[in-house]
Amino acid sequence: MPEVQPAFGIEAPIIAVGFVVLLMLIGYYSYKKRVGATVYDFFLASRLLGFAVLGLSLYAAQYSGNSFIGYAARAYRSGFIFLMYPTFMVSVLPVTILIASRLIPVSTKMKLTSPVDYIRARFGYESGRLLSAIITLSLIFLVWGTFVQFFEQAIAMGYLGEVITAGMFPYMYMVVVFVIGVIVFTVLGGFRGAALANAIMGATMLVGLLGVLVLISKDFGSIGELVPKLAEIKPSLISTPGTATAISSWFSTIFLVALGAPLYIHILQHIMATKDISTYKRTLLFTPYFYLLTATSLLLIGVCGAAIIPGLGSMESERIVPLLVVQAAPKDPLARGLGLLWMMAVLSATLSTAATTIIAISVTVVKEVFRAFKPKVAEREILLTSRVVLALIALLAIPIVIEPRATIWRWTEIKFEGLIQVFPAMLLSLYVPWINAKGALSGMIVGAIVALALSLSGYTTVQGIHAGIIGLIVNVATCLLVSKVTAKESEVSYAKSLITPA
Amino acid sequence: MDYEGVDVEGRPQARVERREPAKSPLFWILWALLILLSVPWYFPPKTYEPLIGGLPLWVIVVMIVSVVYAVFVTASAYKLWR
Repeated sequence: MPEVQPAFGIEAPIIAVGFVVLLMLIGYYSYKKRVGATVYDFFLASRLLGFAVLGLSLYAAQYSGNSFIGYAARAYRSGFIFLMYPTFMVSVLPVTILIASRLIPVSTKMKLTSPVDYIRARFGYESGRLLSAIITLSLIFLVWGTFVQFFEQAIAMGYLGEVITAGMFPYMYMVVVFVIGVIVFTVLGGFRGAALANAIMGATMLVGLLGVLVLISKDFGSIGELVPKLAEIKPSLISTPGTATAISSWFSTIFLVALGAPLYIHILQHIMATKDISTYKRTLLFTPYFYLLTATSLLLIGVCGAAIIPGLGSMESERIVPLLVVQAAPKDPLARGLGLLWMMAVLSATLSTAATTIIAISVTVVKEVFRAFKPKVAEREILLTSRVVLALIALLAIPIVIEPRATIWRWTEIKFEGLIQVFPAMLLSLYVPWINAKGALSGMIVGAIVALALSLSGYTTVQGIHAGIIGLIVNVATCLLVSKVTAKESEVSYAKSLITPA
Repeated sequence: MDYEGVDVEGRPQARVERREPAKSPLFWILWALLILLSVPWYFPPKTYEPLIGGLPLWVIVVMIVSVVYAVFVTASAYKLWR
């Protein structure tokens, strides 16, 4: 890591701790106010929340530490080719619209609260092993994606903490503190706290981010001055893609994220918890512009970073955003204030995303395990067990993140390559009534094998196309073929009545 | 904004037909077109000139496409979904 001076005094950790305590109080208060401790209530907090809170929560769930630290770092390394970032983030929304326009009516009608509930209802004509297999496999992919999203937050916090404290608290130490912090935060605060904190932070994040952009142009020169410098330092960072492979990789990344990001367990739960379509629709009055502005700002910060602090290696560059902040912050009180605001925003956005993801994973897994082995269990027991499982899952992340082995961006690709394999079962099945359990299951198996085999044999991309996308193409083809051949009249009409909006 | 019971021109209606973005060919055509234009395959490879206000022209074009894309998302939610 390049030499840095401590940019903030003792005020930074004090404000940080005070802030987290405040968030916990919000969570604890809303938890206390809750009538009845049911699983339904645990998840459906946002059914009580309006469109602004829902929109901000969804926004903050898609943007947190991993994007603030890791995606800006990717822009540092690849330059304007990462203009794919604003596009793929906006692309998440039309895919979410396609899911929401069918899933909200189905969830309301059938009182479904989790993606696994949907899969069970959709293929409900099956029983026994086939249904269990499709649920288990979908759950594995859903948990995988959501779990990586969780530990990416810890990695981001490790880098941020290390740079901000000028190495006083090394990366490893910060990661462990963060994971334990999340466990305490979630056990005390619960889901509603996380949802509320997420929304508050969504707004702060955007302000803090624009603050950093102002900070950079004030201290290091405007974007229009910094970018031409790159023409001399490293012209490839500002040039159009040079090969057909780079172009197909660009398209592949858009599809990877657009199809993957709406499939996180917590995002699907947010959608399923929406009161009605018009509430969700209203969020789209502002979310596309928030997504666009945030991604574009992070891209510009990364690219400017390449002109300001050139020459960082791949893993070193993961620290580029905090490095810029600590270099700019000591210069004047406004810069310090903006730097602090940004830090708090990232901290709490990361904390709330980590909390939301880990709660979603633990409650979903625990509910399914109880359903299989002890169906007549009290809701209270599910919640209590969830908290224990939550702590265990969070601790499981520590060995992975202590030595991250890959950049946050690479983890993001791996995350979505697994997650998108539920696309036919989760999204396509909302539109195509003749997709059946046999098709969806065989598609997932074949798709996952193809993606995994390609990745493990060194073909993480083929002609720029991600192994996971190739897996998905095979997955969809298998799903449609097997479904078409094995479709039964009664199953199709059951599915039709379920997914056709009234 | 609520379209229930009111059509686009604001005339009261007894019952509004359901609409989904997925059922509209316009949605798919525009979506495909925007994704296609968001990737700068139509610029010569490995170039950054001309620079306009310090930014390469291709960067500005891709950014403009992304703004139009965001507007498309809001518009399709409000015009094609009820």
